[in-house]
Amino acid sequence: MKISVCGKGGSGKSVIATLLANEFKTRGYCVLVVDSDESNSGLYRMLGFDHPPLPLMELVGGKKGFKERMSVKFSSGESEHKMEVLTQDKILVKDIPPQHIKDSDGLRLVNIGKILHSLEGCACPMGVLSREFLAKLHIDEDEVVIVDMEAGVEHFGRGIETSIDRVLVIVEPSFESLELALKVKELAIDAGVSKTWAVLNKVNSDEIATKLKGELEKRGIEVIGIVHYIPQVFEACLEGHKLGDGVASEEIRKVVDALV
Amino acid sequence: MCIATVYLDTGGELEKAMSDVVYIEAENSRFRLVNLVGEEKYLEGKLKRIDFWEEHCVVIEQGG
Repeated sequence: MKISVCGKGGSGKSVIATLLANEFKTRGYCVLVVDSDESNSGLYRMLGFDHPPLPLMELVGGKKGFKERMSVKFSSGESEHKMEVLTQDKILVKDIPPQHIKDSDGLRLVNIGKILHSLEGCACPMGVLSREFLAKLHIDEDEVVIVDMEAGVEHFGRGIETSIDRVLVIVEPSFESLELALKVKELAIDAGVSKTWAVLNKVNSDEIATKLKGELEKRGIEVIGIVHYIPQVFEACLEGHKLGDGVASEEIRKVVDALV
Repeated sequence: MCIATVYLDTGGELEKAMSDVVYIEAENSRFRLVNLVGEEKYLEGKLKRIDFWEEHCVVIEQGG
């Protein structure tokens, strides 16, 4: 199952993606988290890794390296060999070169790439790489892929969701977040994804939860989970630490129950 | 997107020649196309149309 975690900036996509990854891992799944956010870089910390993996963009030489090689014909060599992974019809997790994947007992992380320099250009290559990687990535029944998307909806324009099974939209208590959830649902249908569900995040009272659920119901979106405001999560995000084991486990368990 | 699909115009019919093209280089009467993952392709023809606005495509007319 390939799950896209999307929503408004700051709604808590990376937090929910991390909590989901931990819960799926606890249930015995092999989990691959795909960092598809070209701006924020802290997902690896939340997952408990010391360093991020090398970006998959580096498999094509990165923006700079790729451009330099344009002026000469591609020839055989190490970088071309690595690039072959992306030209395969089908990519298995084990095909990903070790420096481009982090692994902690079945919890794995890959990183598409980040915008690193002023005036380096747009993130379209990363969007295309995300789309192609996810489309070619073959997973078994006991594997789950969780894609931590960039904020907003541009990823739909790039077609990244075309190979996604479930779209999960994270909704924080704000009107903009509710409106974006509706847009996500509509775009997911356009992309051929039949299931779009919402998870409420940073909810600080039952009244707010009821109100958000009602608003999403009006928009035709089912809520499959509520994650309340959790001081430990706030602190981990503030300090850039791993999200502690067991955080929101009961709340996220219900989300995973609905997903599977 | 700023990554293009290149089509070959074979006399009214457009055939998709390559997706996700990031680099095109003219070499005499042919074009060298390179996509994001480094695959190459050569097309004989002349440049007919570039659309960066909506279709994000490049059309090359077959032949010289």
